[in-house]
Amino acid sequence: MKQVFKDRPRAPERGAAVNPDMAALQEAEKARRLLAAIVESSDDAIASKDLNGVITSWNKSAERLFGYTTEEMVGQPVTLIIPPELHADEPQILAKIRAGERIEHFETVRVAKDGHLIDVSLTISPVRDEKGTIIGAAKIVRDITEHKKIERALRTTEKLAAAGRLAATVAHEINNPLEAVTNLVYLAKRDLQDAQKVGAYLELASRELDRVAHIARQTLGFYRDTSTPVPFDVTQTLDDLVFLYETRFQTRKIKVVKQYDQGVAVTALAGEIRQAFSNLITNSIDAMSAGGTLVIRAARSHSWDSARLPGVRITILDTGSGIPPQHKAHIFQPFFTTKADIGTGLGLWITRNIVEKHGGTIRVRSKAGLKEHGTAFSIFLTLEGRLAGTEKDDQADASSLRSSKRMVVA
Amino acid sequence: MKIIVVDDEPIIVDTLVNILTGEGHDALGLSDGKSATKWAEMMRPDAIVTDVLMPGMNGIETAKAIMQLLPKCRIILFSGQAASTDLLAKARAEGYSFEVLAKPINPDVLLEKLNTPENSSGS
Repeated sequence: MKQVFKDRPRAPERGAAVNPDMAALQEAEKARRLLAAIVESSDDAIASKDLNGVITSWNKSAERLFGYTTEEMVGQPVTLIIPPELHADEPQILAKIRAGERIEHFETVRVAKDGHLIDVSLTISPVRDEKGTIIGAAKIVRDITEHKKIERALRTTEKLAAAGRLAATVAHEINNPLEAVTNLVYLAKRDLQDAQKVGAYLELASRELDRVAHIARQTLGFYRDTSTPVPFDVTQTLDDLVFLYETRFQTRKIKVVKQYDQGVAVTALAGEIRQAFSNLITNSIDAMSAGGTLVIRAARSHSWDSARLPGVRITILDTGSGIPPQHKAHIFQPFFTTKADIGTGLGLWITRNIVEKHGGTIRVRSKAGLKEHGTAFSIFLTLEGRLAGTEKDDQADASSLRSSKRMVVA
Repeated sequence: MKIIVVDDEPIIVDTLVNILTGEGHDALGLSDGKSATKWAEMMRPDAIVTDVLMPGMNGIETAKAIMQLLPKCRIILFSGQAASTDLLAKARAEGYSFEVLAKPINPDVLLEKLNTPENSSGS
């Protein structure tokens, strides 16, 4: 059915109703025109295609968004607006449509006539004829370029804020051992005649230097942006973070309990997962200003939703002040913070983004009572860390990441 | 000169006490602000060298308490972290002005500071 919404339907016959069949036909025609008008005036780009992926209709907003006119598009394959590296998506989309499935809010990239890439959210539904046979698909395309831009800006902001917090921690962790080394070198020079003393000072100095070196290695690697997932040891990453925040645990009298399964590893963007863990641990530290216990658990497990999906569950549990019930609904929202002085309100939002980008899930349980209080965040990561990749700035890179997972779930 | 050194990192306290003692000072090392205040009252030191960010009573609270007990006591704060500037700004708003040295401090610089009268120290 090659139907172009833009084409004006034949004006219905006016005059005395002839017979009931005719009246029904006129009603149907009226409804069809109304629908066509709605489609035509919609702010969202709306198009339809047949089961071979050939465009059958193309509304005004689609013309505006992609730069192709209706005349140019109708009869053309839909792949005209799909970037070449994502062409493989189309048969999968068509297969789903044939199976009568609907694809909702599928975030991907499309390409306009002038070649520029557009971040879009697609909703594609099967179209049936009067007998119920699927004959094509209707597609609503929402331009989410602005939305994506804002998301990226927010992420950058949070990265800067996190870098600032990290710099403060690093300054403290590095300047203290440096102070000790400076003093020890002074003493070694002063007591140069006493080989035994000098030996002892140098031994201590060397230990302090190891501390500085370790912290530098940890933190300088912290924000290294790896764009490809790598297999990494989850417990090692958790240990490194515990080491990094060691003094904070000591000064706040926080006891750290580690419960690890042996050899827990996942394939993921190591730096980002590390940031997610770090956000949860620092939140726990902030919640335990009067001391407490931090339990860090890493166990081989399976998904909450599907017992067949193997993965790793990391739980960060504290005996801190807890999340008041009225805040629970908001903690993952951007800019929600109860720590006005030091918080950006983006930590948990980012954490959830990172986890979900890896196809994982995050859950929270918390009690904020006087007697019983504390919070437990659990992150489930699949072993293979399938990437949804919605945040890379590099469009081409982003689309290839997208195609790798989004289609699996779409 | 009688000097109290306060820092929650034992290795820093130990080395500073060693250095100050070696220069003929009578130095006592402590790990927290509360005991520093207690000892200051008994020992009546000429100077106190204290870390800023410590668990419990921080260096600025310690300095304020000792200032009230011993107005003539020389107070030198040292810190490894920028976060201490917030604490200092707060103290300044309350009318206290302290000199803060950034860690790591060259011991020669610290000794020189202690040997120079406060009003001519220039910082």
